[in-house]
Amino acid sequence: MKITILLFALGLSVSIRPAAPASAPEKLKVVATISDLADIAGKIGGDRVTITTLAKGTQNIHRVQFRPTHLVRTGEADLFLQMGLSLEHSYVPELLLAARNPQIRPGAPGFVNCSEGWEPVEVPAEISRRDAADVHPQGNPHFNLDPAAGGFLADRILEGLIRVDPDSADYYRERRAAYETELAAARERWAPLVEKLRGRKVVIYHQDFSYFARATGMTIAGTFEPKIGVPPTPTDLARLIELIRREGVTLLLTAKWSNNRSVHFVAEKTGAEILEVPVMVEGVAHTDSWIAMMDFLFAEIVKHFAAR
Amino acid sequence: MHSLATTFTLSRPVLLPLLSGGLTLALSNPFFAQGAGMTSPGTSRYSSSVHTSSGQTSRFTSEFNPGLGCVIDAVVDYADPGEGASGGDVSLRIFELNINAFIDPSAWAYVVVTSHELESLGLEEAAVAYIGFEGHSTLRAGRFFVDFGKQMQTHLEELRTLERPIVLREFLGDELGGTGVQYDTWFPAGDVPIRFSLGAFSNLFQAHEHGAEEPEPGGGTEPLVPSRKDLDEFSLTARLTGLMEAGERGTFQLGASLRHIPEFTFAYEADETLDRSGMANSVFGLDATYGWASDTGIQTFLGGLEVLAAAGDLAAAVDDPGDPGELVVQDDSAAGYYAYADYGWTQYDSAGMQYSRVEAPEDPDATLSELDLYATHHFTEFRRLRLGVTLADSDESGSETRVYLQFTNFFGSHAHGINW
Repeated sequence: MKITILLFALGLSVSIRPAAPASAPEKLKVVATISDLADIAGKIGGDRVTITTLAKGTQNIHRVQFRPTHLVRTGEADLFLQMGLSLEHSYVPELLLAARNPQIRPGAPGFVNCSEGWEPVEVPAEISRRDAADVHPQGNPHFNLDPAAGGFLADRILEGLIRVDPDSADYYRERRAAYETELAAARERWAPLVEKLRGRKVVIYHQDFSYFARATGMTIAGTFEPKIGVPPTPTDLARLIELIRREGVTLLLTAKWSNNRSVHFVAEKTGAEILEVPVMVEGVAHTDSWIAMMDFLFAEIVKHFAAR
Repeated sequence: MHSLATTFTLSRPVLLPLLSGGLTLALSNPFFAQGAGMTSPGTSRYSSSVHTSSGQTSRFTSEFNPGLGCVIDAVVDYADPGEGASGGDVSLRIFELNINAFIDPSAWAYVVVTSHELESLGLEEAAVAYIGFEGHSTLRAGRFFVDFGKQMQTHLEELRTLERPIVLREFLGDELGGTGVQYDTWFPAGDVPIRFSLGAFSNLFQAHEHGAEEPEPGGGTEPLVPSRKDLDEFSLTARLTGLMEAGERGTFQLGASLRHIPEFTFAYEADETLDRSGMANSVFGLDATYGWASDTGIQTFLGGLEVLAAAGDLAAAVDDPGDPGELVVQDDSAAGYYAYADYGWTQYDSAGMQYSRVEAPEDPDATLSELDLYATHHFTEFRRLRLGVTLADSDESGSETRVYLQFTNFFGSHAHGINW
């Protein structure tokens, strides 16, 4: 009985904590699942928000490991930004369940599903793991690499910010307009580069580059993963080598976290060049904003084809 | 009358096409068995709306069905025990069925049904988690694996090794499932989330479910808790743990756990007059875990140590099985630990070791130890092959070597979860 009383006293003592002292109005606490969303939220939120990013730009977004501050920050967040389309399925649902923050529960004003309204590609006709191990039932979630994504994501984030902080609506709208100017300048830079990429053939590791290829008119001649989420076998690599030779593919696009051992093997056999490019902001050096990442992506790929 | 006639006149032109359309639909019904037979270009082949002929959801609609997931875990092994016959075997070690669903916005429920070694299905967990409190609290009620240390909440097939460390098996059982209630909550202390749980259970002794044990000569003893209890006779559990970041890529966790059984009886199977009631024992544990992941999250390292101590009435045996006069209770303490290290060099491959050593509860002068070495390959996230060897050593039964190949498949809904 003594132990019972002791345990419940311990529980009570930890549960009853003094309230935090009153302080000046705090900044809006924003949690973003990926660095792209964090960058754009910072552009619009300015000095009225503090932002925590859950996944690093270098990380395999499908395998983000739980960290203690993720839970603390999510537990106290005013606004939660996710890409959706099941991109963050390996950590967001359970993180939200554990954080138990009613402000950012799906459906609550502080929850922003940034893919809402986006028209995804590669929506599976049948939801079955027969066709892929890494199934995204709502379609390909890597739309942050679409050159049109910056403005789309900015609009979703603006809506979320205004919902939870309507008093600052004018401030956020002004900053969104300023960001649009930056985006417009970027689109002007990219337009002639699109022409240089149209019809070019690439081989990719994972489906990260589908939207970029669609927007630029590049052709994805093949993928290392025979089915999404399934690593290539030696037979798959042999087929890919044959395809690369037959189609005259000169570029292998991969992310830092992809299985680059097999990519190097294929490059060695075919003479194709490996380009390790960012698939999220801060994925490689000099890509600390979404626009900088897209600039880098365009520049590196165009540079490859210009040299051929 | 006037209004009826008017209605008939107006409806007739509409009714005929409707009837003919309905007839066409009825005749073409087989085309709709797998969804709409024809769609216009660009429209989805699958609708997210709820299909009911009545326009209402009912007991026959399936949209609210819970998520189902299954696990098949098969083992091929060769064992060379110190005593008894050596040889190989193939077994369907575990079949597991998981069912998960929200009941309403404030509660969710889950059920885990398993069959071990082709035995009949057993209910391993069936619990409701109430999450409607303010703050970060959860109240779980039902039957479930209790919150003790780093491994006891985990199902066998999800461990890094084939079995739990021997210290956990000796002190807590293969599994620590209990029927009762558990309250748990977490709060931030700066950047460190601290979590604690308190549980009260009807019975935390493990029933002999997984593989029948050989009956002891002259009858063995079995710990039994009272079927009806006073408040202070319920078994208790508690856990306090905190997680902190260790550098850019590391996470460090410390935890303390308790399992206390305040009242039970050592029942002697051959002669109940020798039963000893008024028994009590406790198990304490301290755990430390370090996890690390590379910048890409592909390379990972996990290392940890859990130290346990058991105290109280740990075991009982008759002093002379041929002429039982007294059931002698081992009122003592015993200690043990396990340590492990695991390194993943790709997202599909990892290898590691686990060493465990424990003083036998029935004789603290005797020790048992196990060393596990293993390599794991994931074909995909859901299909896993593991090659391992277990080297066991016991003061009583000598040494045993077991080499195994474990093949585990997860299909259907699949939970990731935060287990801390």
